[in-house]
Amino acid sequence: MSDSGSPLMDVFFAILRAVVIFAAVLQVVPALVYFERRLAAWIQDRIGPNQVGPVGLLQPLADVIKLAFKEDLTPEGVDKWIYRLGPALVYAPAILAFTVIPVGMDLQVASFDVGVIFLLTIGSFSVYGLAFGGWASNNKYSLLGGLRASAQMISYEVALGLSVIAILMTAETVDLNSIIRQQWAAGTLGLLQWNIFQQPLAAGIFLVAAFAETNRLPFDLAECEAELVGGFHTEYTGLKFAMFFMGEYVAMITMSALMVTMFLGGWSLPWVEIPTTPGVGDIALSIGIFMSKLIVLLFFYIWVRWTLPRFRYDQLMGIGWKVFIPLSLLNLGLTALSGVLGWNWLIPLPW
Amino acid sequence: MSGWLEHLIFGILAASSVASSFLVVTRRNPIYSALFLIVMFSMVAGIFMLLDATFLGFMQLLVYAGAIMVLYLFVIMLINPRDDSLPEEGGFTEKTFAVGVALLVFSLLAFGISNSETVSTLAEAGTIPDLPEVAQTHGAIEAFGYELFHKHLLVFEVASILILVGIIGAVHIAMKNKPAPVELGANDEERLVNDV
Repeated sequence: MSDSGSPLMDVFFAILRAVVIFAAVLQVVPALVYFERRLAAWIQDRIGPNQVGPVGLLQPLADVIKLAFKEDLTPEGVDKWIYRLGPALVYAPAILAFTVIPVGMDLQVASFDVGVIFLLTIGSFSVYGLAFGGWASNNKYSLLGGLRASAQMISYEVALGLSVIAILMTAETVDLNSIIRQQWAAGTLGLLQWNIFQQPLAAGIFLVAAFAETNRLPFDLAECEAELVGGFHTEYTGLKFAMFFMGEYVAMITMSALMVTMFLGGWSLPWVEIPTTPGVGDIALSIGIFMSKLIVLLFFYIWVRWTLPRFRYDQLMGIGWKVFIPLSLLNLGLTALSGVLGWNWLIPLPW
Repeated sequence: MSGWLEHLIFGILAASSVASSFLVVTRRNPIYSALFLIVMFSMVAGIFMLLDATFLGFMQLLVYAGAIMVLYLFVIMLINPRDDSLPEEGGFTEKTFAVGVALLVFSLLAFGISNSETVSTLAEAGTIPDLPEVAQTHGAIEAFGYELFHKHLLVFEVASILILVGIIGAVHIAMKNKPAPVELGANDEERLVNDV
């Protein structure tokens, strides 16, 4: 995208890409919050926010203004440095992970040769915000929330990583754009080339683990209000709380985007040819395809949140360690076996 | 990347890793020690990446900074140390002993590294030799896997057996303190039903 020759221009284009994509992700957050509140209301047969602006569209803006003008309380007895670090540590990794996700045809902020591993690494860092924030608040509920978050995220990270490794084994690459290209095949039956059909077990494990990693219902044990008041963010107010809140939504967008890339063919569709030298129209189309898949997955996230009740903590850890990790190991073994025996695909394609 | 920029970045990474590892041992509160240990791991990972070992750098972050430190933090948070509940620091003798041990380890490592054959041949040549053939044709991760599973397969397998032994040991210790399940007699069941 930026082979202009001069290193200064390279830096300029890199910064431009970063600013544009980060700004776009930030714009998605309020839209997603509005979307979630309206959808939740619809699922629960309520009306939802509909007063501010046309059909309530300006509600997120009102929320932000409200949060920004709240008093920024720092309770007594908190560890000031770590207390301030907490929200930043939740928010930064979530948005940093978005750097390597191809939002359109070969369009990403930074292209590493180890894209997937970068994502896993950054994902594992987001737990520190919850853990540090929970500890520093000097509140038993916050501490319990932080403890739960760290135990839960480290447990499900194993299953998540193992399901991703299965994909890497069939793809034989860690480059996200190559993984997308491998999922493309012409015609309607080309849909079967998507990893969700090639690796259904890995896709299922990834989906569940993604819920646990982003602390969303039915796995939001770190902040479950019935037991822990607000969990790790009980003592946070104003914009610090807003950063926790936004971090959760950005993490949700990032996880969905990763799921789209790894399992749902990313920016490609079987009915659309991938050109070797893409024009502006092709890139715009690929961004559109990516965004529509992303919206479908985000809808799924919200749908699950307002449909399923919360798990109990021992159930969460139980299924994590006793069901998902053995299953993902089994899947890994099966994938390795099929690789050794020379079956290229778990589901044989008709051609 | 131009030479001076690389040197500048190395200087920043090296200085902050030394500074943060110093802070790890001098902070009284173990939460801060853990925090600075994470910073130190990240800085060292940065140095790996600067040396084009991107995969190794991310593995350092993923395994040490991202996973092992979460477990450390989990244990520290379970104990929940506050400044007033921390034990007294060691006296002069203990501190001197600690500094002595650290200096001893440092001098052993420095001696070993400066006298190693690889380093002296590298220093003579003045440049880093070309990557092995696999890395050139396939990329860093493939080269890493090739080295690990061809040259060091035995070590790799022994390490995995060691980890397995560790897991079994941990499970055994955890099971030992578990109370025996209470056998419910017919009367007990009746009582339970009545209670409900």
